[in-house]
Amino acid sequence: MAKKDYQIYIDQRLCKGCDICVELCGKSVFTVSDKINQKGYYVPVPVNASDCSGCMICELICPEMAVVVVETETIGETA
Amino acid sequence: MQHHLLKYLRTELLPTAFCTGCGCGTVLNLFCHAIDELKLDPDDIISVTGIGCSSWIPSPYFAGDTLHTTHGRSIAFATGVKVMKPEKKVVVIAGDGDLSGIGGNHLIHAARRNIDITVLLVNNYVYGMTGGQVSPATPYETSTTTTPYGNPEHPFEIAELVAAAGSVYSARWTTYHIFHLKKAIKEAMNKKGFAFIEIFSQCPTSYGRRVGLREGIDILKEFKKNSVNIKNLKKFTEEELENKIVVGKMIERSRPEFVESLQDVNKKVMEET
Repeated sequence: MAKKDYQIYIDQRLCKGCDICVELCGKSVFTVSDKINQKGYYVPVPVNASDCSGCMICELICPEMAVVVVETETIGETA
Repeated sequence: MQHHLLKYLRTELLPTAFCTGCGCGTVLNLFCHAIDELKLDPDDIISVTGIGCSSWIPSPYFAGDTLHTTHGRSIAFATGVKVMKPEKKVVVIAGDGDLSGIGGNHLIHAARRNIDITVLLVNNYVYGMTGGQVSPATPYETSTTTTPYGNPEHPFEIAELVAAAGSVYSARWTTYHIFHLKKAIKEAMNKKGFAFIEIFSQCPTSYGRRVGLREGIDILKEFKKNSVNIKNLKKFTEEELENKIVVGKMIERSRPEFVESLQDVNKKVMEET
């Protein structure tokens, strides 16, 4: 079965570090960063972006419109 | 990389003035998604707001024409806008204290008239901007700034109230139910007549702090735990539903619309004289 690949971007300028995306992601894609950004927030990092199923919960629920999920390429069947 | 929907916002004003974890931003996000999916031109939308945190959702962030009006009177202003410019889509986004408390009569009479506007009522339980005072939507026995020993009043069921007052579309969702809410906003924007959505939204600063839910995510989890879909109502007794949020579409019907009726009356009088 073809598996879609996604890339996740977090806008450093907009994120306020509410961590709603970290908690609600069913695939545990995000982790809380240990570094603060320019504005003093702990911006989440999409470390497991390869597990992303593209459900769009993080993009839709983000109160700052800071999360963007982009479908990159379709990997065909390997068998 | 930037969000593709930032084209609908006044990006020079971002990040928003909302507190960390506030649900108002989620409503703005879903509103932009709904407009993008409906392929509406922001220039054809006039958004009218009142006073309060949730009135900041379209004004100043949404890059269309906006009217930031006096407290509670957003529907009154929107009625005037719709009558004079019937070709535009008029959207009211305001809070529970604004629309159901101070502007309560405007809300039920606009629903009775069935004027073609879309109303998104963002219900965060309290008057959030002024520090968390009790509002007509505060749950029973909840402590707020002005009811430190618990709220002795019962809240309005606003979606049911508006449905009973005569709206053609009435629904209730929370900011946790993002896919349902996005669909509901699209349905309400397309509906001819008074379309109403009550959106339960998290307020971690003025409400959550006093009830032990300090983060936005804590209140979202409460929404998940406490909401009951209207389709499953029969499975619960009345006592079990006491502190639950009944989500879903309350009503969808068609009735004669106010602006059209008004134009008909005007035409008739002009022909007679």
